Amino acid sequence: MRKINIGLLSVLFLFLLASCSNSENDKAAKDEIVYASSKDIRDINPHLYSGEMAAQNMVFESLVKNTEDGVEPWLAESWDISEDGLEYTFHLREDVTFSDGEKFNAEAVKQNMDAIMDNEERHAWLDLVNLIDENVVVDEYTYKLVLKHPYYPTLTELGLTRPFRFLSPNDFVDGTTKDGISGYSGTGPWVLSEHKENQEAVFTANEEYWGEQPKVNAVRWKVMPDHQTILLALEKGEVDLIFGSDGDMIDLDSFSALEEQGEYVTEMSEPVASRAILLNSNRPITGEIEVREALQYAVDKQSIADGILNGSESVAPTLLASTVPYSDLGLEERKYDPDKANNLLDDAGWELNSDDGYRYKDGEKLELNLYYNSDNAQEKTISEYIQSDLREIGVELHITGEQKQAFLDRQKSGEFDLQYSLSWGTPYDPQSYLSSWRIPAHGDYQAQTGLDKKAWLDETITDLMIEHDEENREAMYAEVLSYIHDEAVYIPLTYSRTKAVHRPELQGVTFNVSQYEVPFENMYFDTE
Amino acid sequence: MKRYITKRIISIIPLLIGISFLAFILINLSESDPAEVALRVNEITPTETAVAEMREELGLDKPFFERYITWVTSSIKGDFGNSFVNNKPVIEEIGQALPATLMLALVAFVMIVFISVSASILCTIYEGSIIDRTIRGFVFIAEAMPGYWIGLLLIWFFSIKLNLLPTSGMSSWTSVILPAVTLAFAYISTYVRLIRNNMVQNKNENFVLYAKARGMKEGIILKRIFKNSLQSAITALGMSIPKLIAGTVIVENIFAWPGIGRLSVTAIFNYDYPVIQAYVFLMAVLFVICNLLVDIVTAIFDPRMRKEV
Amino acid sequence: MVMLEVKNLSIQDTQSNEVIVEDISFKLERGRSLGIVGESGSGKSMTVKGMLGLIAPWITVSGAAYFEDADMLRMKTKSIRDIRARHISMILQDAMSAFDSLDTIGKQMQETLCENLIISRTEAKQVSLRELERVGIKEAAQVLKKYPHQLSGGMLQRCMIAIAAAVQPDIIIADEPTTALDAITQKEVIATFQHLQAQSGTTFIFISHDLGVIQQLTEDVLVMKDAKQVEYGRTENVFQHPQNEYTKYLVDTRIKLTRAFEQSMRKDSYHA
Repeated sequence: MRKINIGLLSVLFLFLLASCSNSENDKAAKDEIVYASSKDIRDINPHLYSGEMAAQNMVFESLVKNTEDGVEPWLAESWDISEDGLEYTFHLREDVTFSDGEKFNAEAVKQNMDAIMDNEERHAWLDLVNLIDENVVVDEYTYKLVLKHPYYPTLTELGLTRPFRFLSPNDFVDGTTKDGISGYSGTGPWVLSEHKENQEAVFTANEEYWGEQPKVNAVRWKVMPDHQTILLALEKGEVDLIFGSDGDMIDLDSFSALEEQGEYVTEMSEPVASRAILLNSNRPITGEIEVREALQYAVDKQSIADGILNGSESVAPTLLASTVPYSDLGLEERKYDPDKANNLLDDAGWELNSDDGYRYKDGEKLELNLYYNSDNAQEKTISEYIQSDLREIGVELHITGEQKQAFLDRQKSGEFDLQYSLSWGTPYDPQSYLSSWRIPAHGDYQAQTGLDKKAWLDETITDLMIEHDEENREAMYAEVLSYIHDEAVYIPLTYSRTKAVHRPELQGVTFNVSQYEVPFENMYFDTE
Repeated sequence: MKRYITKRIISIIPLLIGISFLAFILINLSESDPAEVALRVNEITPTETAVAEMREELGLDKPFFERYITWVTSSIKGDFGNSFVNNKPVIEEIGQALPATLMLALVAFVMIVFISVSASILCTIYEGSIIDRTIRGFVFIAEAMPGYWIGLLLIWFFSIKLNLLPTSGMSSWTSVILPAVTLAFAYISTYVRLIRNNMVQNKNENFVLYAKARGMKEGIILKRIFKNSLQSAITALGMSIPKLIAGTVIVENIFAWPGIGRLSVTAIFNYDYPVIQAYVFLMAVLFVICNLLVDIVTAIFDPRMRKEV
Repeated sequence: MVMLEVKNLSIQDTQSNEVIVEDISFKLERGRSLGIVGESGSGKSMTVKGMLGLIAPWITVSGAAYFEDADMLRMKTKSIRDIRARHISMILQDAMSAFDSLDTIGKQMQETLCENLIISRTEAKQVSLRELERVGIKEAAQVLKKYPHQLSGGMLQRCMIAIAAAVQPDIIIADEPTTALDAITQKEVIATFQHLQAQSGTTFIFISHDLGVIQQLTEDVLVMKDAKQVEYGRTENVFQHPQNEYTKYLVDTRIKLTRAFEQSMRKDSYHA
């Protein structure tokens, strides 16, 4: 009996103690943004890929910045491009220092660029790396980049979140960065001051920052692997901001619920990436252009956008949104039209069998396979919608969820009829996306192999990368994108957007061009 | 007694060898090429040369037994290789994450023992009454509720509604309470039933009658009933310790607790073989050792078990 | 002098509505041991247990059982426990399962004695040793260190007797004291009882289905059949001139068996 009384008393006592310690939380939040992520920042070496991009973006900067209006000066105040497009001369800012006190100058730039080139193979996915010929220090604040041949996306690629960002040479190990670095001194508005692995990381405002000081003192990056917990923490006020694209942080139902609730502010960015279904032109049935075209008209994209994506994404009329560079081509949208789809299949000789409702030609059934990543619940639901849409026009679609590894293997081998394709997103679209179409390891390549003019396609893509003349380049993009559109290799579904949810007191929440960056420096608390 | 212990310790050595073998084989059973996986995890395009280089780096080109022996010998020294994901020593990763899980498991264990014992004793004293039935009913429901749901429910109620505890993370000493309770829930029902049923059964045993006949006080009799009811519970409790340590995944995920549960699941999703291997091996060793300890404790506790000596 | 008077004792199982004991009445006089005899299931044990409150909650007892002018059936828990502890000791059937297997005999004896006699542990040990020797256990100190499963049924039986005697109660009740034992040990245990009867001032109640045992040890006997009392009187009379049919039957069938037993008993009676 006594045991139980003591037990009760101690529990009560604990509660009292706990409630005392909690009231202090409220005060600290105002000058610190608490951001919840399901992932830890890990190693934010700017020249490697093991860290969270948003964290890397806070600490390290590049020569130029990608904005909605194009490439803007950043650490470089201005630049000149040679006539032949091979030399880029950057005039650097003279008032920048790394957070360890080291001066930012052309020498530092060269050391960083050399360190990046030292690990060339790792960066081979980005074309610019393969084209860099020389890094030259012209004078203290002038740096010249020499390319092997002209490459128009050079500036855009220099402005990406990684790898072309600058670390203080003092943090290099053995003169390079590829095997690790000894510190994280960057030029950015934030400095990493604390990191408890897998728990949280604290970034404090860089007091020596050359640009506009962030409005709050610190950002606390808290790791919470479970999305439900993040929402509960948001509700409790332990978290100020949630950011994410492609359903990464918040699932769409919760997002809509939060929107309706009105207690938090929800924001959505401009279209970021294209979500599409790849049709494999190298397989027996989908190799027929008539079938591909029919499939284009068979999918009810609006239902998908409304039903699954809760209206958070807009229907995509074309593979790339018209807001993406070089993609405003006025290509004809293929709207949902099951009758037209049926007619196209009839004309192609696929007869509808009245018994089972599916189409047959020469004894062969019109059945196809769609594979999706089994970790992604959204892809599964979308697949089911498409399956039922296709049944309406007499096509049997088998949908299979696969483990990530197997899913990727399949992309490489090309053993699929239909597959998911997500473009890289701005600012990687369109150049990096199209560039990847030339690589056999990518699903896009595999799906395009069956096209008559595939070789020409790849060549044109290669050519337009190095095309110096803007007009010619535009024309080449138009040709490539129109061809792809006409060949109906992609069924564009929707354009994804980055979403954010935050407490009303947090103001200044905006989106960068890249969905992987979070512009904390613009945010502040409205102390009303 | 000493002989019994020594005998048991020696008997687990072949078992441990077997486990190490199985843990090692894991990597060879999967269809994916570990070298390719190692590259993929870091989003490096697995070109032919890159894969070949990685194979050499990981020592995958050597014959099976040579690799096995190398792995075992270095594992004994504590070197389980480096993680594919961030190239840090596996032992360091595990070493960092383990204390958090151990703390959580310990607190949960204490709760389990305390609550199970108290509840069982209460049920036995008031056998058949409303108290007994309420406790058992509650325990039954608790068992049916999935851990995930209990966790979120607790957060919602104690953290948000009552504002008594933090929602997640390992920030203050109070943060361990909700995750430990969530973890404990699943086990409490098992033990309450086990101990209570044993106690109720023992109440009808001859020795209880004789104790009453001798005029012994209720309290003393209860103590004896209790001690006699523990045998199966101790075995089960003992084995639940490694389960608690190895199986905290869901709780750690919900409560953002940086322990090895999360570490292992992340490793599994990333196909981070060195970490997975080390984890499997270490957990298996833990189970074996706990099993041994339980046997020894039982022998100490129950004189009838010592007959083996 | 009447130590215990039972009047119209009836016991019923409220769950099954079964009548376990019906209308039992007897008196226990100081110095005159009583035997309760009958087949298994006749209600012998239950009578005594019912009297002492050692029954399950759903069993009801009616009637009266006076010990020193107080009705035990109406006593509070604490009082009846006191009686069990110091005035009426009971020795159960099945000695092998009577003790807690997790503790040594010594510990359990000492616990009982400390509680009941309010003495220190050292004193309790002394008493234990003395009593064990009294019931004929040689090497008592060794026995104290042993666990129940390490001792034979006979040994354990003797320990129980020792405990019962140690508190020097007014009454000792022995429930089937010889049933689980072999013939030789039975003989020894009976001798022990006889010894105790002679030496102490305790009055005994023996419950048994073995007429021979009852004949050896008791002055009065109560015969039970199917929950009822069928005969009650002086042992000699009842056995030599049974009035009741059932008693006659019992006596007749058993006398043949016990004759041999008696003979062996007469050969070596107890040693003083």
